[in-house]
Amino acid sequence: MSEVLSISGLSKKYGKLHALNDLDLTIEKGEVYGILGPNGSGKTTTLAIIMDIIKASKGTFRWFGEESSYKSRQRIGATLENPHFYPYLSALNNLKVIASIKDKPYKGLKDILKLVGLYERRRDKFKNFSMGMKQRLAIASALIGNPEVLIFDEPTNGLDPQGIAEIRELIKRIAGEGQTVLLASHLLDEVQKTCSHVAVLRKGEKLFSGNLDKLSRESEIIELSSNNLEILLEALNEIDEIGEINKEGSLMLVKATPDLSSAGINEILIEKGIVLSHLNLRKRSLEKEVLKLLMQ
Amino acid sequence: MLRLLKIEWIKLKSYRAFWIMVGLYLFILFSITFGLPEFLDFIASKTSEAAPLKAFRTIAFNFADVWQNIAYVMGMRGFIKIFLALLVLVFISNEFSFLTIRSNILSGLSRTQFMLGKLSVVFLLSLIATLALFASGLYLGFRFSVDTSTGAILSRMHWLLFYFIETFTYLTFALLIGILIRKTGFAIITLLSYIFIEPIIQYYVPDNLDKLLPLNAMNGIISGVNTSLLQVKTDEFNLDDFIQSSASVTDIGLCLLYLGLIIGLIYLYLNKRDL
Repeated sequence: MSEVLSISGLSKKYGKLHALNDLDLTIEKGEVYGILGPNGSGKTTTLAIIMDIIKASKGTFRWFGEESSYKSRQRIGATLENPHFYPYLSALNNLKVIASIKDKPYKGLKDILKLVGLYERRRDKFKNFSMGMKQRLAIASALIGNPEVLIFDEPTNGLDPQGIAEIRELIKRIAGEGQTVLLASHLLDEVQKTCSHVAVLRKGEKLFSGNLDKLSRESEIIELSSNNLEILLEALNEIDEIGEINKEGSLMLVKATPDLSSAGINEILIEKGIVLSHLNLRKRSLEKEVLKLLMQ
Repeated sequence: MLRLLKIEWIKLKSYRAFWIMVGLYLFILFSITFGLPEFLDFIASKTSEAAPLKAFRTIAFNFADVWQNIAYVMGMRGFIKIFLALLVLVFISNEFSFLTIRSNILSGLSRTQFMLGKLSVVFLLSLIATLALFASGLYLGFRFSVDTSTGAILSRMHWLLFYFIETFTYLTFALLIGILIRKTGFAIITLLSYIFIEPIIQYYVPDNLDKLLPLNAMNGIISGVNTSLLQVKTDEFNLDDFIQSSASVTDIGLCLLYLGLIIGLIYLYLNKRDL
């Protein structure tokens, strides 16, 4: 796997406010990476820094293993929080501006406009577009010239439910083609449905980063109970794969590493001569897990 | 560089307001040059001392002198040049108020390339203004000159180059104001007020430093008119204050110094600031 983006120690200060604090992040080729966090958590700040819109106070980042330059940005397709286009130019001419900045031919533009459903409106001025059409044009501009990486910042912002569904479908389709995608969103649902990896940000601090499955597996809790809770506790303590053990009424709540299933625990306990009166896998939703992270 | 011009061209090609302003500028410019002799006649008919003015009109548009004389009229601050500056203010502050500078940068334009693209448009605008002046000069010259030999036409044409340098520096100054102020309306107000404020500043500045004020420096190469018959003079009518027989190297240097300074400021600002 080759490294697409590596961020180290990135910070941004506005006066005393830390918009971003010491962020480290690495994205590999082919990953669909979500940056999740509430509004004001530093998502857009991060994206704006790596696209040279704003300057970092501290820290560095590298694109494709090289010093960042306009050449690296030409290989990236990106949208920012709000679509920014020339209101007095048509959709097609706006895309032509971007294509010539990227040094790419115009001939793919028609297909892109068809893909985002704006082909019929290509000659209309941007200022007459609805919010949904503006977002779709922003996504179209990101797709110009088959970029190696796609960055979407809150792509479903301000869209109606149908628009949201369409955009997510589009991103999923792109992600399915093995594209490297970086998606910033405050909507867990959006990240969960499209991403393989996630970084959770809050107030400019990174709380978690890694595989999304890992985050959901961490949220599994096994409920156990038997006639003699003390003996059960003793036995559980002897199992290496078991981390946290909590008592809740007559239940023991246990967190185990991913390679030990609930059936596995049962087997071990039977060998030790303990018969369980209760065994249940309590799945905490990813939403709760993320909320827990954000509440800390 | 060609890529940068191409980018700017697509941005401007179907921007109707921009072309209306260019058209308006050229219309006013040509109305003035085509009507200038008649205008002088009109003034002459209203004054009692008509003879010197009429004499001036018959010689002012003679070849060779015509270049400097119309360059002086078209280069006057607070006059038609303001149209060009407004054009520049609108097209640069648009990039900031619509935040399209962000989509430009994130799509793969470097900040320096962004500046060079804008400078090349300003360069072309100055070139258009100079060419319009050239056309006007040809028209007036052929209409009034006795001597229309190639030598006479070409001999003092370097005043067109001076006009170009002045205009390019002035429009680059407008570019800087647009970048610093970012909002179209405020940028226009700032430039217009500065045109009025500089004479007030000049009042408080020691006379030998007058030349160093930015607008003075950008306007200092062509500071007067010239005719080969300087003796047009009576007690009531004296053109001496307006007569400039040649440009000084110091004035040209000062203007170019400002040009370099302004471009340097734009470069630093764009490369250091958040957009």
